[in-house]
Amino acid sequence: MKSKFVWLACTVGLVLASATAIAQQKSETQPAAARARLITQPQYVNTLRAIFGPNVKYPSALAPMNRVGGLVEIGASAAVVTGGALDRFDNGARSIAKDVFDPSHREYLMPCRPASEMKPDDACARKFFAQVGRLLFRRALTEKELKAYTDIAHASAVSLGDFYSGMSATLSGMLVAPEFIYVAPATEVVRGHSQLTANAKAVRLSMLLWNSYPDSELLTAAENGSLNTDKGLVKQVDRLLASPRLADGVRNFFADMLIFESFETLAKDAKIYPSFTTQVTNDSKEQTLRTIVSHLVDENLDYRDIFTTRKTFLTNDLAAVYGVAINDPDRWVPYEFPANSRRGGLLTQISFLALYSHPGRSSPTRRGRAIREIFLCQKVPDPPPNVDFSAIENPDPTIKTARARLTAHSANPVCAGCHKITDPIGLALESFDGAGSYRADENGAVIDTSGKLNDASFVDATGLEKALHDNPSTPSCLVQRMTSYALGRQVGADDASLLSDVNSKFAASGYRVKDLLRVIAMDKTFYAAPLIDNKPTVEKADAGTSKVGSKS
Amino acid sequence: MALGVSSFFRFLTGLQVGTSRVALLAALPLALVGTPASAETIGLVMTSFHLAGPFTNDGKKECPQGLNPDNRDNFRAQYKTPEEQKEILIKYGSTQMHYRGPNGESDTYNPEAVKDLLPYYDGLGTVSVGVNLDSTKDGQATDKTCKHAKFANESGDAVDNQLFRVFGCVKALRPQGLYDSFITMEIPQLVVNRWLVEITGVDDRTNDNQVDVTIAHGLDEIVPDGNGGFVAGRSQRVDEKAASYIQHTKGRIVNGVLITDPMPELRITGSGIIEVFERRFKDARLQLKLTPTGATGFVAAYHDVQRFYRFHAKSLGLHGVAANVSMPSIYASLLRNADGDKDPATGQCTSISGVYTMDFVNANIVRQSSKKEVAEVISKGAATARP
Repeated sequence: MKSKFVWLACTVGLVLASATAIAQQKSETQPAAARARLITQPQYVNTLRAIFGPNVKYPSALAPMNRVGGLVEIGASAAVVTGGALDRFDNGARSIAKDVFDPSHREYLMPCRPASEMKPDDACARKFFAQVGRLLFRRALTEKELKAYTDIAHASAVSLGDFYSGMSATLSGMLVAPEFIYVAPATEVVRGHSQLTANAKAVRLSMLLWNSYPDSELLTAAENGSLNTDKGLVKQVDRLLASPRLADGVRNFFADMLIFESFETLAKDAKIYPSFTTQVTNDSKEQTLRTIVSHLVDENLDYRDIFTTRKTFLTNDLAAVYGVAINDPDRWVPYEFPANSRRGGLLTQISFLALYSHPGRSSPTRRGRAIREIFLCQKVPDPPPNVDFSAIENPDPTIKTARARLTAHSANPVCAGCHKITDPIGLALESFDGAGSYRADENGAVIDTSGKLNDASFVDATGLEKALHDNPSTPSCLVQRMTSYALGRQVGADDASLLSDVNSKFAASGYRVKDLLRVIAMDKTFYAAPLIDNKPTVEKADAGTSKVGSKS
Repeated sequence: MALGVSSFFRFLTGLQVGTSRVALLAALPLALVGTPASAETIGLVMTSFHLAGPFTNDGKKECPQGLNPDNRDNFRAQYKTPEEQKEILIKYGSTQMHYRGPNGESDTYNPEAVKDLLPYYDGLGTVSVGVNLDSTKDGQATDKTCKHAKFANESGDAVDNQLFRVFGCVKALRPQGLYDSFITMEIPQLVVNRWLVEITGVDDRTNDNQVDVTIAHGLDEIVPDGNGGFVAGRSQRVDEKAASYIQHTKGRIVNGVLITDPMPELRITGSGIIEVFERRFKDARLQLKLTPTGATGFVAAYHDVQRFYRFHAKSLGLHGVAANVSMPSIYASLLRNADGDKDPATGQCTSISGVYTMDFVNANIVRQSSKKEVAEVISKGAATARP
């Protein structure tokens, strides 16, 4: 009885998730509360790199965040700064501020030179803080704020006997200020409709397309009101989409969707996979992101083709695992697998194969589950807590292949339900071991890589990738993920109309992700005011315009 | 290897390279120049290099009288009192005790000027890997060779390895001795040690009566793996500017072991205690047992005694104290044990046989060119085996 229940729960859960993911999330479909969201590490780096340039050293890790609804970006809304995380922000801020004002950088990062390097210079300090503060806080500093920071720099310069040390101490304080590390969507009520303020629109747009705070031009468009016009919005969306910084936004979205933070804890058994070095780990992640950016941003090609494209980028370390030669072993090189290669598409890249494997062996179940959950937005339930894994972990040595082991394991009806969903597609990738290397056999036995995805049958990984490419849920899952990412919340039943519209437009574009981003960025839902306790809280009202909150 | 392949290659290499088409073809790996589609190319990059011999862990069997004294021991034997020793050191301004000649000659650069007073023991033993370089069964002198004691390999065949006699009881050159350790460390660190072997036209990895072998200097690093070895399958570029180090020979594969034809002179760069030099192996033969991830085996050859001594003097002799060597004794031993290239006038052999064991891992060997098209063709060609 129990096993039937588990099977039913798994199957029904999958079907429901597949067909009506929205309805299943009914309780979560209301627009998210207007929570302040914490800046993520990539946003932090992208923002500061745009302000201070690439030569300043930026921290590689900040506050850890939970994944919500398949995305860390949504989890950022619930992130808190713990003591440890604050230390990281503080250390990063000090290091950055020191770099900015060291002699090799300040010459071009400072808009002015102090009258004396050993004394305060309020005018110069004020000029710097007005310029940088606007970009950090996403709005012009108030006169009170500007005076406060200038005073701090003055006092610090006197105390330290050095103008730049005073500036550095003050900047490090700005970099840990809540106004910088938190983003609270400020709203206003215009003619009875609650919407984001122009500055908050700028932030949302920039975060979606560049994964960064707005640049000066976008802030200016917000400040002069042009961003609130259709023409002004189109101009800015076009500008951001045409910028090289779009790659940052696309990279971040896909790194989030592909759960690439798991690389931080990815480990392989060196005895079994000696070639899977730390460098391979890092490069495999980068390979996938480079492939995606090249395909979707640089080439502006069909999203579905990322599952079949043979074009990618390799380093020497990766080429060794793939078993191919590259002609310039010193750097990243474009590479195209031959037409008859077993490789092609994201599923046969090392990043996917290794990430969804065990430390010492492949895992058709993990791979199958990842395909379902990541690319098809289907939820596969976790195994029951009392499941017996012995058939997998202590297998009968006479059973040579993963398919045979899983067949034995699935004899347990408690397990069968979910394995029927994951394994037939995961087994298609069994020609690749737990480190992503090709293998002709498993323990001397022929590997059967045939399987079925819904109604599409295939005989190997190439067929699976084609089936995934052709599956209608593949692009619609991307739309669901991208919309959730853009809104910073899970989409639900109330978003059905929006999703339907975006799906149609995405299909009409030939599944171009740049067009998908444009559709989302131009939709008024994207700029709708989030609710606080399900109703807008009016802070200030005048002549038909009310403001909620004060920070963008 | 199909007969037509080598003929085709000879045809190509015999052409005057006057057109870009020919230049392009000549730059390709042998495997891409007319080799049947079924033929395989095996690329290898060297990862270890050690003097071969019947070394035991404690050395008691091959060195029953102990390891050889170094130049410090010989200095003290030569200058017995502290006063004498101090006088010499001050006189020549060195703490390295090198200036032991009658007129202050360096014991390293003028080994004939110094006669070590302490005895020097050759390595003893009867078993070694190697090749019968002089073709004699008993090491008797011939017109071109000098009398020496032969070793026997695992199969009982007579082989030559006189370098073991010279260095078998020298601490630095024994396994994990200072010199041996430096070479082990420098092989991955210094690209000058990048030794590539490309075997083309392999129809059968177990038994193939004719394959082509190219040996060249490589340009790329080798990377440690997580298991104490090196990552197999990385791409390695041939140093095409060092054309004189690109050398070809024929060979065969017997029971999974590559056996090359003799090469009159195999030249390859190397290092020892950070000193860079060129190794020259005369009448060289490689024997490499092919494995799924690489190869292991040896190079057997003669070494010109004077040349061999000179680069060891620079790398080993100058570190005499730390390396526990005394170069006059080593020089004398090299001459005493030399077994090849007999000087008809003096009867002194001028070359010495030696065997070095080596390990390799698989590599994808690629050739660069100023022509981008060539590089692309090679890269695509090397990837035609379904990855």
